[in-house]
Amino acid sequence: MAIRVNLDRVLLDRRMSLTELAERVGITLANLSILKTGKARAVRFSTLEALCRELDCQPADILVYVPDENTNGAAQEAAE
Amino acid sequence: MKAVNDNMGTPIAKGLNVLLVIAMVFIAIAIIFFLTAGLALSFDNSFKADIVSKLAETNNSGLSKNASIACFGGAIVASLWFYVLNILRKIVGTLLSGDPFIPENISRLRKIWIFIALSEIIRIIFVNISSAGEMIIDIRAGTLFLVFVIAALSEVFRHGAELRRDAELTI
Repeated sequence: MAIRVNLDRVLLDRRMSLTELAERVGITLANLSILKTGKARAVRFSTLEALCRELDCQPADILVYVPDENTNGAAQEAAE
Repeated sequence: MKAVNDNMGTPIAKGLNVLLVIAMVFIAIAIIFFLTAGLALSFDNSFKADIVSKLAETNNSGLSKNASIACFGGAIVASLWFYVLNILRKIVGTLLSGDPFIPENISRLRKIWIFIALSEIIRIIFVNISSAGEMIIDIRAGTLFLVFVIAALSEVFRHGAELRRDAELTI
C-alpha cells in the first residue's frame, strides 16, 4: 500500500512503548501492531485522533504517502 | 481468528446441520445399495434375471440391458452428492462457530457447484451408456438452475469475506 505508517519513529521520539500507546489509545496491542506493520486496510478518524492526542503530533507525522511505481504511472497518465 | 459476530448459529442452522447428517447417512446407504446391486447384476444369477425381466416389463429396455452399469453410475453420482453434502456440512459448521466468511468457504462453495454440475454430466453419460444405443437427452433444468444459483452465491460470499477482512483490518 502507498500509505506508510511511521509509528516507530514517533514512538522513539516520545520514548513510548507500543504497549503503553495501545493502553492510552484504547485499542488492543494486536491491532496497534497491525497498524504499525502496515497491514491495516483502514484507520478510523477516532483512532487517528486518539493517536495524535497521545503522541502530541499531527496525522502527517504518522501517515506518509509514498507512491509506488504503478500508482505514480496512473497519476501521470491522468494528468496528461 | 475471532469472529466479528459472536452469534453461534441460528436454530435453522442447527437444524440444517442435523438434516445434513441424516441425508448423508441415507446417501451412504444408497451408495452401498447401488454398489451391491451393480456387483450382483454384473454376474449371471437369479437376482439378475429377476431384475432384468422386471425392467423389461416397464418398457425400459435400455436399462434392462445394462442395469449393472446404471447401478455403478448411480453409485458414482451418489458419491458426488455425498461429497457435496460433506462440504455443505463444513460450511454450516463454520456458521455454527460464528464465522462463516472465511476464505475456505469460498472454495467450498465453488466445489459444490462444480461437483453438482459434474454429477449431472456423469448421470447423463451413464444413462446413455446403460441405454445401449438409445440416445437420451435428459437435462434437468432444476439442477442447472441450482448450479447457477450456487455459483452466484459463491461470488457473493467472496465479496462478503473481503468486506469482513476490511472490517477486521480497520483500526
